Amino acid sequence: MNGSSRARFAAAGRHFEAWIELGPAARAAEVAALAATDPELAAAVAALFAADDSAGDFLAAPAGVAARELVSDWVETTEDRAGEVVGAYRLLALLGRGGMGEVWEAERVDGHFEQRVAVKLLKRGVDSDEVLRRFLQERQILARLTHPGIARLFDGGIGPDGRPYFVLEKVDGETILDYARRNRLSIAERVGLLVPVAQAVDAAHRQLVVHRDLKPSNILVTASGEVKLLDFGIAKLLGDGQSEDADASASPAPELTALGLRALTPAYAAPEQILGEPVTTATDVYALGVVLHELLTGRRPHPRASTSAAALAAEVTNETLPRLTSVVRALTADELARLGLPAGESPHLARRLAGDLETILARALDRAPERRYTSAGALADDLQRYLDGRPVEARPDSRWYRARKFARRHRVAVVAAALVALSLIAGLSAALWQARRAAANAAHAEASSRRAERVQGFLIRLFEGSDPDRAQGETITARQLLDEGAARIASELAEEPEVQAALWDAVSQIERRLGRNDVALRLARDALAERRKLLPDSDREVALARLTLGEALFANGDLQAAQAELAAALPVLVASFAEESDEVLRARSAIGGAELQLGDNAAALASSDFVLALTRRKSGADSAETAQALLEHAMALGAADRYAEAEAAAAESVRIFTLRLGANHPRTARARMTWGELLEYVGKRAEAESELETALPVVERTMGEGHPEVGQILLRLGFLDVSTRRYDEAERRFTRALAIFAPLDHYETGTCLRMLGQVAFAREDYRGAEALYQRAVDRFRDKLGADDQLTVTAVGNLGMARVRLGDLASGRELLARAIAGNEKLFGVEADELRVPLLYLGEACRRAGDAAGALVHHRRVLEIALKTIGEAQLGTANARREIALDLLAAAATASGTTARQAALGEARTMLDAALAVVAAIDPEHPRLGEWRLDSARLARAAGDRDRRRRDAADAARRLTTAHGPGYPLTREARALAAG
Amino acid sequence: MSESEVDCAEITALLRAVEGGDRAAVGDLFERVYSELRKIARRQLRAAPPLQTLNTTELVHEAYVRLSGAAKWSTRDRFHFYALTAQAMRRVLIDHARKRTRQKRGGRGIALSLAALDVPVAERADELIALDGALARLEETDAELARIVEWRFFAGMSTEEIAELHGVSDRTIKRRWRLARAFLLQELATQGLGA
Repeated sequence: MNGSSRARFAAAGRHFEAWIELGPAARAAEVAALAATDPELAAAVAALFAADDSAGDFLAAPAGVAARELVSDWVETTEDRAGEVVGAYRLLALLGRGGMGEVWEAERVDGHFEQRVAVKLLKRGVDSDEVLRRFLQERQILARLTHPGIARLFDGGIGPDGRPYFVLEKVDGETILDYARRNRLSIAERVGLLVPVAQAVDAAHRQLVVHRDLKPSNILVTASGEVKLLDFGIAKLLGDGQSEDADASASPAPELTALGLRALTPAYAAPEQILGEPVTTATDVYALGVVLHELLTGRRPHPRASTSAAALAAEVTNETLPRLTSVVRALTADELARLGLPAGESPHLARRLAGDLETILARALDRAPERRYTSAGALADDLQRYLDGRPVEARPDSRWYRARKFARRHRVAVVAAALVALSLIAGLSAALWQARRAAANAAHAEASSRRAERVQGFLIRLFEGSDPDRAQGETITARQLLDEGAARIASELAEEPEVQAALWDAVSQIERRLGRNDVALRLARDALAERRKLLPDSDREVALARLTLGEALFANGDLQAAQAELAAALPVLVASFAEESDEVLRARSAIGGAELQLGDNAAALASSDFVLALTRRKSGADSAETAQALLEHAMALGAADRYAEAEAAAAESVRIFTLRLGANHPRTARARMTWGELLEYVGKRAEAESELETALPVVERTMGEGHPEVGQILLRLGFLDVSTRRYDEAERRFTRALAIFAPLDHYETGTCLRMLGQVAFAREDYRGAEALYQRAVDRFRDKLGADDQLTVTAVGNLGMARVRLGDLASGRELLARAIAGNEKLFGVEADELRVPLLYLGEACRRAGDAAGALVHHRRVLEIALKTIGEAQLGTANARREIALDLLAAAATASGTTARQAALGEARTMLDAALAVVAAIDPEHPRLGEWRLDSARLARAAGDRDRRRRDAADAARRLTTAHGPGYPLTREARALAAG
Repeated sequence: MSESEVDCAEITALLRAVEGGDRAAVGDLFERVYSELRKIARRQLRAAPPLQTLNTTELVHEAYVRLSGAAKWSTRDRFHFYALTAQAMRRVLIDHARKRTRQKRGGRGIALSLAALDVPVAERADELIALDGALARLEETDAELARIVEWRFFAGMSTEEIAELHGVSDRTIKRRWRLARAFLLQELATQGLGA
């Protein structure tokens, strides 16, 4: 600072001191007077006053109050103790020092074990005798606490200087927070990281050890990604004033309560710990909740800033858990950056955390221990359920939650999403437009125009009030606006229920379009309830609200309820507006969608035909509206198995959308998606893939990478990859789709898991396939019920994996269930029966029951010939299985004639199968194994030339496909040489 | 020298030498004060229940009682003693705040947890270091104001005590304290670290 600025400050300071004791008005007058002669000085004085006004409690408390932790290592002796011997250990290097003492890396003096340990030397002032007494008391229990997720306590005692010490497993790792940040873990990965932590805590609880001081610095993650909990049971040894774990009923004496604060970290401590109430396993559940909260948001749920025990107790008593979404919205850009989420996740954080994770956290962090999860294991289970996309246990309204079903098929989901207005702005302007229309009606004129103005005003304020710094792209801005808008509709328009209802209605439609179906439903319900308070059911406004609610219910998969609302709305809409009005068309279109989804294909087809004809007449053959109607009609045709017509309609829809809206418009992309799927159905795989690949980036960009429609495209592409045996690519797509569906609690999570199972199965990883199929089964059963087609299919898949793993009894049982389920759904000659029957036969053969196997496989052949025809892989497969059954039967046949007959038929079957496969693809990867079958059969039949020829061919193919070391390759080589 | 024995006469002599302008005595006395503060702090922390903070006010006063002993110190002696003590307290806290932030930024962190190594400490440490920088600029501008902050904030002394030792009214010290605080807030705000 130079002389002149020093002088300026001195002058300003003089004025400041002269006037500081005046009232604000007098002070302002003095400054104003000074400004007349020396404006610069006046500004400096005013700035000092402003700083003084803003001082608050700045420097109010002496530094010492904040500094205990800072100086604790200053006051402890800092001499180097390396080389000193403590118990059976020699101290090597200081690892850390803190409030409780020091931690040293150490080795055993006697060199018995190579393993390095960590020795925790408590600082003086800890009651040594008491700690030692507790240690001796607890030692047995702690020594038994062996769990891979828990750092072991090896030993403990009193060191030569009288200070207690503990010998612990040394863990090389970083804290869970650092690990998550450094590896930029996603939300799902962070949740996944806490599952083993909660499981380890649960394991300790089963051994009756409560941690009492869980916090990120006690939860390390090793380089290999394994979690390790430190200091289990140490808190109790250090004395937290609790005599027993779960049954401490007597409230501790006041001095014990004060002492009890010794070993806890206020920010992570459960309320009962701070209030000196009994500590139980629920205390650790709370701490896990705090850690999860911090992992997900970077903040702890409560500040816990008080520095004295009494103030802290008061603070805890008055705490309420903040909404997770508000916590996230309050995060600064810096905090968000420090959280270290993957680039795609930060902007959507509030939305991603809303719902299940918020519910889980609220339960873990409940201030009443008895209302928390009953165990850390229950928390782990719920987190896993969240990751799997299963309903979480903590869900508050489980009836509604479980009843909720999503669009049963992808094509229907498209209808649901496409039902709404064109875009955000179009959606909002629809509200205005509705109001304007109503204004034309004399009865509604005044109220409507006032409402329109209010709506418009509200929207303008909403846009003005949005913070441009937080806007990171169009969709996100829209979401932020909506979130803010929903809150402000409730608070600012409480006095104007009509305007409020109109806005809820509009926002509901937009939310549904953005895929937030649950929000859309809530808003639609509010809008309808509000309007019904003011108006009779015969009023058009009530009917319009019913229409929006019907659409929202439909999007949530509650089809019966949707149909009921739409059926109630339709006559009023027809009476209030023209038959050809947009309102009526919207209602009919939604009704058609519901019919489609409820399986009433004929009604759906009739509805969509009607809507298409009307729209064509009204809007013209090449209008976007017609394109949309064509798309919905295509879906209805597809559902009625009229794929060729459906594909043509979808192609036309894409053509018109491209013409009207451009190739990169989201609606064009969604139509293309449906077209792609239909192309697949009609066997045009390459075209299907190309259309889907074109749609994918557009949908990703416009709907967001986590949108369910992105997941749907990925699923379709994955199916195509599987059918062309590109398993790596398929696995990537299904994994990505899983990451999208799982957090949304979408039933397609099951499809992703099942398809990942299929990939594992194709790679002969039956153990992996079994686990994935099991999760798919659980998922489908939870979401769709045990009798649903998808559940039944997954059960069959699980049976297949069990058979391949040699668990024949369980495999047969599952396959029989799948067959019975499919028979019930589709009849006894259904195509769906082939796969489970094939594997049921295989299980019989493996169990030595060749006759039983033949029965099942002959049935497969019969069904295949009827449903898919002769020249198909599936039919060839059935013949091959029959050949193998006959080969097995021949081995145990009682007479030569029976044996010859079996081998003869086997040869016929296998040759027919081989001919079909070779015709489909001469290099089909399965040909190697099938030729080996042929060589085996030739050996059994004594045909040496055939055996050698087929075995040589099999060896070549198997070497190419699986390498020379593959067991079947070796067998083929042996058969070729012998 | 054991903790209980302090050569009070020697301390008083050093103090007088400081007042006489002996530069070497300043360093000597500072070391004695620093080491005494540390001893007292150690005892204070051992006896204190956890969560209770280091009480700098008590620390500084106890240092005074122990170091002055039976010697009669004039206001001038006491002024110099407290000036040095407050400076020592400031150095203790700032040095350790620096060390703490270095530890936190050192990357690997600490392999085993200890209560004192949690994040908020580092945040407070950052604040303390920023404050120290602002205080250094106040020293250049108005050394007396800076001393008031040292005494009041780092040594935890009351405005009455400070007023008595400066020979001015309590109101004056309060006014000056507010001016010092306003200066520091402005400084911190220009660094984007406003309180």
